[in-house]
Amino acid sequence: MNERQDEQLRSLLRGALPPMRERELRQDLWPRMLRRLDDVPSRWTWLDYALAGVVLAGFIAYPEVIPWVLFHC
Amino acid sequence: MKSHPYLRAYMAGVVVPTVFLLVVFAVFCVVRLAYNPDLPLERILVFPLALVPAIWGGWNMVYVALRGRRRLPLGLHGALVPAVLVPLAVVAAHAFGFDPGGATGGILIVAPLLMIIYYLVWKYLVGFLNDMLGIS
Repeated sequence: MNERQDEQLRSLLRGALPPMRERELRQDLWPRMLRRLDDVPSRWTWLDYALAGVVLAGFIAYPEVIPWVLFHC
Repeated sequence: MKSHPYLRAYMAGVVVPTVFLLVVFAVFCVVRLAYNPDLPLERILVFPLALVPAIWGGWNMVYVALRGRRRLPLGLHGALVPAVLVPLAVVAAHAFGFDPGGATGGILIVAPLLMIIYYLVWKYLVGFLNDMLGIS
């Protein structure tokens, strides 16, 4: 490839790839991320504890189902 | 963060099973090396490795797609996953020639337990990840 072909190739590539606009982010995302991390997570309700207890009791009563449960995870 | 909601939903959905899979994989490896059981462990692993994370990601995408329409809370939405997963697992188990824990009879116990587990995991873990990725 000679110089002229190189230049042609460059101009073709420049034409095919439009210049990037807005390279900078419009705003800093880190404060938003920190706010999300500080958000109070959902609290466990009595129903959730009861359901977890049912699962535990199920595993104790029927330990043979544990491989099946693991198989689905 | 407004763009690519389905991609974000998929990514949030696959995290939990992918991470938990490492635990399952470690358990299977220990069992294989320590006890050398007469079980086709490698064939058993195909189902959770190949399908489960993808189904979770896809189901979370469905949750996003239902935004604005009538949709269930995230926990209940997740509790429906076993309705798809259990029949697939039974088919996979039969196809791969093994019976983990009394297969067909045990399903009556496994299915409700799985639905409860999925309800809690989707409500808290997937919900947390969805919040982190800005999926409502």
